[in-house]
Amino acid sequence: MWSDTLAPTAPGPAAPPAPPLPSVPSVPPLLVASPVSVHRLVPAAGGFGAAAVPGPYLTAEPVTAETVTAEPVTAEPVTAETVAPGPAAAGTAAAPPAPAPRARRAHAAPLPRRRRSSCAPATTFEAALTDLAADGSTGALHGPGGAVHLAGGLVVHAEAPDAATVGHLLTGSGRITVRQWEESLLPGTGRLAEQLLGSGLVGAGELELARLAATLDGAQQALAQHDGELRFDPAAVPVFRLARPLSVLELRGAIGRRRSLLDGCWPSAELDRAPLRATGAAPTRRTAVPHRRRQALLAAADGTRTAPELARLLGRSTYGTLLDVRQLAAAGLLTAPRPAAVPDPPPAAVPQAAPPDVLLPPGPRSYDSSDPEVGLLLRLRAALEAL
Amino acid sequence: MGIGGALGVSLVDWTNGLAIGTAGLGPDGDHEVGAADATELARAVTQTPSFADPDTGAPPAEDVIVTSGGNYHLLRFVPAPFDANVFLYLRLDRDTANLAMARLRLAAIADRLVLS
Repeated sequence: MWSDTLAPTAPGPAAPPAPPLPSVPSVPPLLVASPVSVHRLVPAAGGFGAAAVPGPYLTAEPVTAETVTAEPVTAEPVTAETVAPGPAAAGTAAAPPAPAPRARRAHAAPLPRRRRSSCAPATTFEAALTDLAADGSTGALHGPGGAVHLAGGLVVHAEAPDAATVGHLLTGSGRITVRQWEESLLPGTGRLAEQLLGSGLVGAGELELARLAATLDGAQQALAQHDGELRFDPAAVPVFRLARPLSVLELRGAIGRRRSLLDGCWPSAELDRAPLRATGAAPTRRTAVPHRRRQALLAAADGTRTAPELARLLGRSTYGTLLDVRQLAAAGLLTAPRPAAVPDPPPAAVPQAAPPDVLLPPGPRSYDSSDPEVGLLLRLRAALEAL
Repeated sequence: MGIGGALGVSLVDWTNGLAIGTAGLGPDGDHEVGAADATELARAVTQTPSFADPDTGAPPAEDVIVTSGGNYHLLRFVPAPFDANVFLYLRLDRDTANLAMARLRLAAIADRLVLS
């Protein structure tokens, strides 16, 4: 698992909860055998870290300082220039462990896989994806409930039957018409993004946001798959590719945060798949859902449509809809007249069954990351994992 | 990064804490941590009914401004036609920055971001 999870992250930015202590890189990884020694080493390393750490970390700073003052404003931070792992990203990704895991990998191959609890994938899909990414694979991992596309071990796209697609988002929101979308499809799906941008229908920043929303929507469902046959297709070509691909660790962190936000609103996944109905009652408390979105959702919730169907109807992302649905349910405005027909483990339920020590656990109640001490522990653990 | 006194800026999705794009330096040189921390702040604002603007249907909030001894932190929510829950997170050097100007410039950038 060392190299499994680290290898793909080396070129990109580091883990999302962010391996916090820049000083950690200066500690020779092999010296750190136990958390105890890290506690002792870190402060010391911090003292000389700035002066002693050579290489990319230091050199990155002057460079970025220049760009700060000299570069003109980029209106879209999503352009290639800023998205490509720039000097700043290189600084954060001066992944300390780069050499160590590689050396270790050569020797570790025949050893049994080490399950590190804090990083252990919560589902079989996550485990398979993590392994594929560690090998730098290119292709798509398909399961019955969704697929994730990799390129060189990085996530470039994901899709799921219930998830919103780029087409749904762009056409459903009225950004482009269905007709324009279909015309863009004519030259072939391989050139869809090119066609959309070239025709001036959609801006580059907007398209990337749509791609990211669709990818995370798909990945949220794909990662939750815990049974069913998984199949890897190296020849699969995704319709869209993220301009800035995500490492699997980043993706899992992002999905974990999305789930914790959902569960913070209403800690039950029963509404995710069940048909929803507006109660018509007065709200038991105020919600942060904007008036227009609330009205649209309540009007469409007729007792037959589920949240993903509502999302499609309203041209919204499945996640954004679920977030509103849970908030409205918490205020007593929405209810599920009968429980979901399929007793499938709902997306959030599977990871909750996992031991509570998963990195950025989907079950949000496990940790309160706003607690500074818990946050410190999480960051320390992330740093340990980065070694 | 043409805004006077800017130290670093990132485009962050507050539903998942990902820094989608970055320029300049993040807090302590780390955009990822900065994005995750700013996400907590953005969530606190967007998920709190008191800060919502329930009648307009507009995004719940426009800006969040945090001032400290040496810095200004400016969060600007980006309007998007679909559920893209993103904001721009700009850090400014308090000695050289003009907060009012920076806020207006950032708002203009946020609007252009979606259109372009």
